Amino acid sequence: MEYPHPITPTRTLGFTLVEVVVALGIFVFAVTVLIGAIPMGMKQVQAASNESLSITSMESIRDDLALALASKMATSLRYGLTPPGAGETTPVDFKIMENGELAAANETGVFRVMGSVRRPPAATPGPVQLHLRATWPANAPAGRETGAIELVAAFQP
Amino acid sequence: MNPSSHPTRLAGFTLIELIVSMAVLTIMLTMILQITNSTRNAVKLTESKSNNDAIARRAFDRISRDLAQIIIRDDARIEFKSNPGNDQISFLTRTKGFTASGGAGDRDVSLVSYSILYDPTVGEKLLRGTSGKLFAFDSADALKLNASLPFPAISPDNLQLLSNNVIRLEVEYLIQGGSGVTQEITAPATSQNLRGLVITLVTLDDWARRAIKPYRMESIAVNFTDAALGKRTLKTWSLKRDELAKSGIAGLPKDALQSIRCYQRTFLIP
Repeated sequence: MEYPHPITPTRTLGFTLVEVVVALGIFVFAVTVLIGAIPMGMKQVQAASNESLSITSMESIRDDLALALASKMATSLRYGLTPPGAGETTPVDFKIMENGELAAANETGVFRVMGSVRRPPAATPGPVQLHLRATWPANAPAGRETGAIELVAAFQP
Repeated sequence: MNPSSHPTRLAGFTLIELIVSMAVLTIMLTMILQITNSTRNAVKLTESKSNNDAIARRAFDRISRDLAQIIIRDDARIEFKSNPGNDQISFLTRTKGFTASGGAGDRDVSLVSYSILYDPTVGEKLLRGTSGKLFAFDSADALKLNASLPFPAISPDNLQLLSNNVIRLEVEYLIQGGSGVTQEITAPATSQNLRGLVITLVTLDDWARRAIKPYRMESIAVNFTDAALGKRTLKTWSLKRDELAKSGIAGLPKDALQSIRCYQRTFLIP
C-alpha cells in the first residue's frame, strides 16, 4: 500500500463549516465597524461646520436689526425684520441657507432660526432684547433637531 | 479507482474555485474602494470648505478692525472705485501710520485701502494699503478734505499682502437717507451718511490655487459679476458658484472649481 492514510488528506485540506462561519463573522464585524466609523466622523465635521455657520448667520441678523433700530427703519434691510414698538414682541422664524441668505419659498435651507425681538413697555424703559436660536436640519420637526446654538443680544434704545 | 491520483487533485484548488474566489474578492474590493473614494471626496470637500471659511474670516476680521476706527465727519472722505471686476475702497482711520520715504515721522491718521491686484506669479490677490496723513494744508501729504480735490494716492510701497486666496472683492454701501437706510452700489463722497459696508468675496483654497494657472484666474473671476442695484450679490454669486462647480470651465480642473466659495459680511460703522 503506497498511501498509508487515505482519510487524512480529505480532512485537512478543507475548512469545516464552523471555521468558515467564524471567519466570515469576524470579517463582517471588522468591515461593519470600519464602515460605521466613516459617517460618525463625517457627522462630527458637519456639526462643527453648522455651528460656525449658524453663528455667522445669527450675527448677520443681529447686525441687520441693530441698523434698523439705530436708523429707525420700519423694516430691516436684509431680513425684513420689523423692530417692535414699546411693549411689543416681534417673532423671528427664518430658514437660512448655508451662505447666510434667507431661503426662498421652494428651498429647505440649512438652519432654522427662531426667536424674538422684545421692547419693554414705555413705563419701564430698557434695552431692546434679541433672542435667537438656530437649529438644524432646517426641516426637522420640533424635538428632532441634531444641533442648536443660541444668541442673545441687547440694544440700547 | 486510482488512489495515487487523489492527493494531487486534493492538494490544490481547481481553476473554477480560483476564478470564483477571485471574482468574489474583486466585487468586494470594488465595493470597498467605492466607499473609500466617496469618503475621501467628502472629506476633501469639507476640508476645502473649512479652509475657505478661515480665509474669508481672516480677511473680514482685518477689514473689521480698520472699519472700527473709521473717521466719521462730513469732510472725511472715502473713495470707491468701481473698476471692471474688482472694487477698491479707501477710507480714513484713526490708525497710526507712517509717510512714505522722505516723510517726517509718524501720523495719527491713516488712509487705509483694500484692493485686488493681478500678480503674474499667483493671479489675483487681496492687498491692504496704508499711509499716514496729516490734517494740515501746507504739508505734502496733508489730507485734502475738500471733496473736489483729487483723492490722496496710495503708493505701491505701502501695500501689504492680505491674502493670496481672495480673487474677487465687491463693496456695497449702506447709506442713511431721508427714509431710512438703503443699500447702494456707489459710494457717497464723504463718510457722514455712511452706516455700513457690505463686502462680498470670492475665495479659493491653496490646493485649487496651485491647480489653476495664474493667468487663468481671471477667467474665473469674470463669472462673478459686479453688484447691481436691488440684486443680492451673494445670492447671484452663490448660484454662479454652484453652476461653475457643476458644469466647469473648459481647460480648468473641475474639483478645483468646486473649492471656490463666496462670502459676505455686513460691517456696521460704529
